[in-house]
Amino acid sequence: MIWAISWRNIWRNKLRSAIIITAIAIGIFAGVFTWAFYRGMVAQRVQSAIITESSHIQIHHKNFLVDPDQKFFIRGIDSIAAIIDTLQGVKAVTQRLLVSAMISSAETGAGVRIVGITPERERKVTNTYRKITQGSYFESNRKTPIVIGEKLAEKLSVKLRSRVVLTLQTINGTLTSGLFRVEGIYKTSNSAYDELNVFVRNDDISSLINLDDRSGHELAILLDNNEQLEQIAGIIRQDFPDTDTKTWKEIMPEVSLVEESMDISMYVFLGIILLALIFGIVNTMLMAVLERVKELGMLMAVGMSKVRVFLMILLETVFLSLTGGIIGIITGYIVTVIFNRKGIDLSMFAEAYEKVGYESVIYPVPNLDIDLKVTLMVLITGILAALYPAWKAIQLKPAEALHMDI
Amino acid sequence: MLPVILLLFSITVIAQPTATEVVKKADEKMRGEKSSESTMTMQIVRPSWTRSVTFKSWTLGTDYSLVLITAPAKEKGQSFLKRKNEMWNWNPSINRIIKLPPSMLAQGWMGSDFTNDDILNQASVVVDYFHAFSGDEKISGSDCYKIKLTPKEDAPVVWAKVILWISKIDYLQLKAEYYDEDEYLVKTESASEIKSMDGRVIATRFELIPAEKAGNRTIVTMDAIKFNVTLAESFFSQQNLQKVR
Amino acid sequence: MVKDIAIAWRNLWRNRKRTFITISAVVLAVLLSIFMSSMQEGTYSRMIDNMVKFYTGYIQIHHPDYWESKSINDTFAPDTTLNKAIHTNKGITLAVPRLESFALISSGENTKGCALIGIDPDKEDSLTGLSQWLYRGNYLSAGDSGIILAVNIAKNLGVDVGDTLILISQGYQGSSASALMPVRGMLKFPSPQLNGFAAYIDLDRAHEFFNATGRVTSLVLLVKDYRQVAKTAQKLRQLLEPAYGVKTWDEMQPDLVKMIEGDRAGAVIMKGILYMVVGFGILGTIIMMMAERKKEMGVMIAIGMQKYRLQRILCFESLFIGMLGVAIGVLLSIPVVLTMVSHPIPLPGEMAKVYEVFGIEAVMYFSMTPKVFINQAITIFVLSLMIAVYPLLSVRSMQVIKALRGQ
Repeated sequence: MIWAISWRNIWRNKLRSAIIITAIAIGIFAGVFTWAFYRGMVAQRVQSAIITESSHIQIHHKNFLVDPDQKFFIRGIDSIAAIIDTLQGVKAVTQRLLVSAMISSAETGAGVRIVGITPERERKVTNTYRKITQGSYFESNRKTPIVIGEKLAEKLSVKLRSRVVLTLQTINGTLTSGLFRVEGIYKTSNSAYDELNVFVRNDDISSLINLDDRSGHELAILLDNNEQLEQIAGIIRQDFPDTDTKTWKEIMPEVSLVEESMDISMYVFLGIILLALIFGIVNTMLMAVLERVKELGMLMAVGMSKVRVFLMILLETVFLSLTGGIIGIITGYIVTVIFNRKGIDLSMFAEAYEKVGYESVIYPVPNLDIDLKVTLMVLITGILAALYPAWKAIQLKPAEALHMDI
Repeated sequence: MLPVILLLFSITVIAQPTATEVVKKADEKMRGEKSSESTMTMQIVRPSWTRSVTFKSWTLGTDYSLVLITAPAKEKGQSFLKRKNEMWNWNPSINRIIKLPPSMLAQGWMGSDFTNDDILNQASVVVDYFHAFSGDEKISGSDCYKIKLTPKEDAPVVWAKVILWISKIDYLQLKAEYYDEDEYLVKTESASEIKSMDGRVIATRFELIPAEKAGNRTIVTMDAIKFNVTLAESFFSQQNLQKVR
Repeated sequence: MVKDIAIAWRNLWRNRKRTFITISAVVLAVLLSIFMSSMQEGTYSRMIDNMVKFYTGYIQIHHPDYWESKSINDTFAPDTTLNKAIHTNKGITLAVPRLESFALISSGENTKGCALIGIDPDKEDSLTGLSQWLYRGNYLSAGDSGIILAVNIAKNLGVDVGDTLILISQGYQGSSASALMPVRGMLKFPSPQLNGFAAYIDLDRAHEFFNATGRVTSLVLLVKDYRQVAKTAQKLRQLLEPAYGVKTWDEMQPDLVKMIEGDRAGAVIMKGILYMVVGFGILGTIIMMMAERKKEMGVMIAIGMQKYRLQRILCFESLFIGMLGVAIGVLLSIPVVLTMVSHPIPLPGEMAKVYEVFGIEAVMYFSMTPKVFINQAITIFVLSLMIAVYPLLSVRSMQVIKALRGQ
């Protein structure tokens, strides 16, 4: 009986019910969307770092990371690359030669790190090719092209097609020089990186340092997704035990820190939302009770026990919460999925994103499991919130209630 | 008639060397065709300070050279060895030989406007460029060939154009201008104080003036030089790097 | 007009419970948004603080050409003008001298290039906490003749504490710089890149080595609060330029600034969601309030009060509620935030470990800056006013007969 009464009570006062349902729906929507958004932000941060800098996994000669001397190269690195490329979960692989050298122009000279790449494969792994501001990324047929950072180009006072000379040590220890022409100029969000790294074709540099073109210093691997990171790294370590295999978490621990610290902010935020929700519901319900003083007083005068009145109000809240809950979770999920496809472009909020290189689109991550947990939390909160007003309601004295008119 | 014409012809042929030959001759004149031993003083001039370094130098062809610093006191005893494409430095105060890595080459040698690279690749003028006459000019009263140098296709040099003024009589390089690709003058070298040393007439004062930095100059003065002395390849060794006085 | 204000005020106190509930909705909104903003600001402030203290400091003083050239020739000797400018500025808490340049370090057959930084060991430690990264051996003492290195440099050279290293570099005004130094200790940083970056020696030894007595490449300044930086820098520039160059942390680390800006953008969305939730809380109470007073308002109109006058009264009521709510909210939030600042809540388990690895204290940070309080107070006040439009609309569309019947 109580159930039927409670249910009908809800629909008797549409406005009041609508408000409470909306409050709960909003609360759940907020929780669901926030979670998805935060996850999206973290993912974007991580993805950005992976795609521009470290890739998912890197492989080097055992000694290379501690002592980046070019003598620590991996022989036959291209066959290792070929094998890894066939692994399931691996999206693309690229190999690189890393040599420190001096670059000189007519104006001056500077110490740089030469990155010898195979442009077609490099494109599949990093997005540096999209950071070209002038010229092109190894698209021409010129001999010995070189792509340098904007900061370095300024320092050397060179532009497109300028001559630069790279002086470096061969594998045998002798010094040698080679002429290169600037084919492209790039700019990332890290100007220190731009000043230090120059890109040339693998073949051009391997012949200069006297190394066969099947060897290299670094293998960078891009995976289909982040989930299989440890698994694939494990397989690689097993198959190639003589090399040094590292995941991005080991190469860029600072980015890991960002990931971890986001969790705590999320929980605090959710806590705040729930707090706001409790008060919102308590206030609204209290107001509702005040408004229904006459009706409740009459019920009690007619003979309904206080316990039943209490239960009735509680049940009303349960129904309201459920309705609000269902609406909230569905809306939240749908909105998340929509933005997950379209992405939210933050560039309207901050000029920082106008500067080149900082990804500004966030894709909220939908997660049904989390959504259900959040809904449960909000529902429990809603019911708890109803306790006080319900208790207040049964404190009313029927006689007084009936007398109240205005 | 024919003998006169032949005579005239042969005189012209002998008297008119190619641009490349002129450059080569001037280059070899300075260093000695085979070898040389010399003492020089280098003065580094900056807007707010000036410094002088004196050193002895031995060369064998273009592949080997040894330099010993003799003044000032703080630098005395330091030496530099070049063997083909490798360069080492010896410092007595720390008692070690250091092999110079590429990153050190970008800096000026001993703080001057000459780069280590300049020191390493001296014969570059002859080997890395095409040479063409572009007129005659007088420098400090001497008649000179004006020769334009354009870099060969893959030559590892940064200059897009170099102009040399070499005196006709003595094959002395009296002036050089170095240009980048925008036809912008980046630095100028000029030689003066022509004297006779060890039986040759040579310039003994060289000034290097970078175009951009006003008030910066490096001046090298030749105090004494002997040409084609007896030097073996074994002289240019790491042991000698430490022993030489 | 004044009468209406009086009526509005009395209306509020006629039904205390109702007013209390409505005001508390506003108070809550203010409290929560201040709490969240304070936490965001506190975290940024702390992040900047940490990143800045690590190397660049808040402000640096250089030779005017130094920042572009990074050349050992662009050093300066602090004179009385400079020293006075620093001492008389109350905002500056620490001034740390450094003489740094690029050098080759060699042991046996191995030679490596790295940054060589001459420091005042104690002052540097107060600024960057350098000694906490000590991994083996000892930290530099004042006047120490030894050198401490980042761990990878030591590994590459194959040296340990006690071994002797050769240092070679270009000294001031072109002189050669060379010296022999024993390894005092090794430093290990959490970031792999820093582990191959620099070696440190005592400042006086650096003076001898680079032939640059009394000269430094930079004077690194610490200020009380990162918000003071712009003002302090401005004052210094007035006194010191053009003889000296003054650079602030955001000029020296533009990438860090961009990262924070990016983060703020995300925070805007979070705040938006919060406003939506608390805004609805306030709206809910207002709607219920209107519903409850329908009959009362119907009576007033039936008696003869014009709708626009009723609306005006309601307007004032909303204004009062808004102002009181915001004022109480701000006053309540002050002690709460103060407690958070003086007794920070430590972060739990996993999180704490990650923070500590980076040398950052693992607590939740809050900020007491007035800006936080003022901004949120204003925003919530405006939000309340926006919500106050509802009662006005409700009155406009009110049908008196129905209202009298309590519908």
